[in-house]
Amino acid sequence: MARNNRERIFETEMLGHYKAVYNFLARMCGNAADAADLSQEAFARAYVKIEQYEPGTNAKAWLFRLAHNLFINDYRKKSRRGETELDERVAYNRRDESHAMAGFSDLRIAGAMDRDFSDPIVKAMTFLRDDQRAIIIMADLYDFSEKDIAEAMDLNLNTVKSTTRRARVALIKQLSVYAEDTYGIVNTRNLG
Amino acid sequence: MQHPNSFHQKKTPATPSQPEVADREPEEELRCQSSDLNLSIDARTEELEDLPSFKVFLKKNLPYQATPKDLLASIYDRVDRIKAESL
Repeated sequence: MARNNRERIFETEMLGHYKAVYNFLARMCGNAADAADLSQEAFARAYVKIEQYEPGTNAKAWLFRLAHNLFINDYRKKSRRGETELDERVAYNRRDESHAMAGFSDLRIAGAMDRDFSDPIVKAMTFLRDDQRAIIIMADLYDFSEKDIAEAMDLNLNTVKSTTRRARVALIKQLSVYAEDTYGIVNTRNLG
Repeated sequence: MQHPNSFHQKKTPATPSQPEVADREPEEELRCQSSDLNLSIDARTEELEDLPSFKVFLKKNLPYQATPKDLLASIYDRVDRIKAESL
């Protein structure tokens, strides 16, 4: 690719997403400094590999693919602390999978839209597997389509669908426990 | 022909009540019709009954995080080093 063309695409289609990439990585790492380092590396790789991107398509999803791969292949493998956390999450998710979804057939939290759930959500997100957390961020914070998530994470569409469902259920289980402990809820039809 | 590494553009933009996060500072208060949050899951589809409200709820509670002031400059510096090495 001609140098001018590479720089034009990088400037016009890639760089504008640097805040989104940083926020994605910050949510994945839970650490601002590491997220900044990985963001820098993600854009360096984007510049080098820009031939693999088709101009005019979804640059943000393409960048998320690079960022996600960096997180999994570099950050996670190098992070001893992360491996420990991962083990804890795996144990948690094994426990989690033994619970039926039936308990969520009618779950409502009164006034939740007006309350600050940021701390429990951040905490609950740390208990998700990396792939679940990435999918929640892409699907529910960034409104990526399932097809874009599948391509960004190199997963098939059915895996994205099932992982998304499991991730949301895992998050909701955490939040319902918090809400019940804190507000004494709220698993009733009467709130509707 | 579709490029093997291409991504499709989103066909459905976010609704006004679900602005994208992280690309920019939120400019307006997210609005919801009810203050209650329905986290019920449809047993047939195994999907959330009210996914749009769930997304609004997450976006309100996982807001934009300010980027480090020097992040963009650091990216430019990194790319400049790559350019210099390739000359």
